[in-house]
Amino acid sequence: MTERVTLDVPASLRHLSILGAALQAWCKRLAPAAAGVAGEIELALQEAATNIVNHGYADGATGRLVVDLHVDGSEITVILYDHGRPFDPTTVPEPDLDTPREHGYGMFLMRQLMDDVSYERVGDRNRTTMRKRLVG
Amino acid sequence: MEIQVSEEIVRIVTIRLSGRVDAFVAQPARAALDAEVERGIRHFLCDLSDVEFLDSAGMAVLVSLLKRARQAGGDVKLVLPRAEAALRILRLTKFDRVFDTVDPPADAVRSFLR
Repeated sequence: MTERVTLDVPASLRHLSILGAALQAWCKRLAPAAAGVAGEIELALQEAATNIVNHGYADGATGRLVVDLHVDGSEITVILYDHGRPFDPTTVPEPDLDTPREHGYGMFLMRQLMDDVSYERVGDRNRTTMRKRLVG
Repeated sequence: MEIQVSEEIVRIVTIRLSGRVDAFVAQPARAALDAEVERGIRHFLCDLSDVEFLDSAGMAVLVSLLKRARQAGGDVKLVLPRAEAALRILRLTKFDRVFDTVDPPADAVRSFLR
């Protein structure tokens, strides 16, 4: 099965729960394997989107956050597009889990929850891509 | 004869969070908990039983409270969330081991006195 769903919301913290709810609804009716990992993908999406709002739009700039949800056979791909300042989450160092701290877990969680995470600056926009293989 | 009587009262505040604890609510939640610390509370029981979703910004609020409470000689104990969507982050970051956890909440009072 191949299918694409596009979500487009204001890049603000208030609107991020819309993304999670839509992702959950999509996964649950897609396939049992997708429903089973919907929670993991939702947390990764929340972390990626929060990074964009807090870092890409840190200067108070307003903008949109576009999220493509794509399934192709046994893989779900989530792509986030934004026009905020360049912010490469993959450069954030891994947290030391033996030394608890308040911040710096976003990218760690995205990597733990997804099979692949990458970032590119394409023209004047950022593209964050996360992939999750479906098992079963 | 001399009689010395002493009494110690341990004040424990229970914070019950529910629903979605994420980046959007982190700031007001932090302000509310900071206010409790400012008024001298050092021992907290955070009951997360009914939290449905927890992200790293929401977790940071709990970690901030833990740091402030321990600096003041107190502690924060958690009742873990029932929902997997909230429990997941605590396990992945190992914060379920950083915090003392109690279950059921009634055990919290005894655990603070140990």
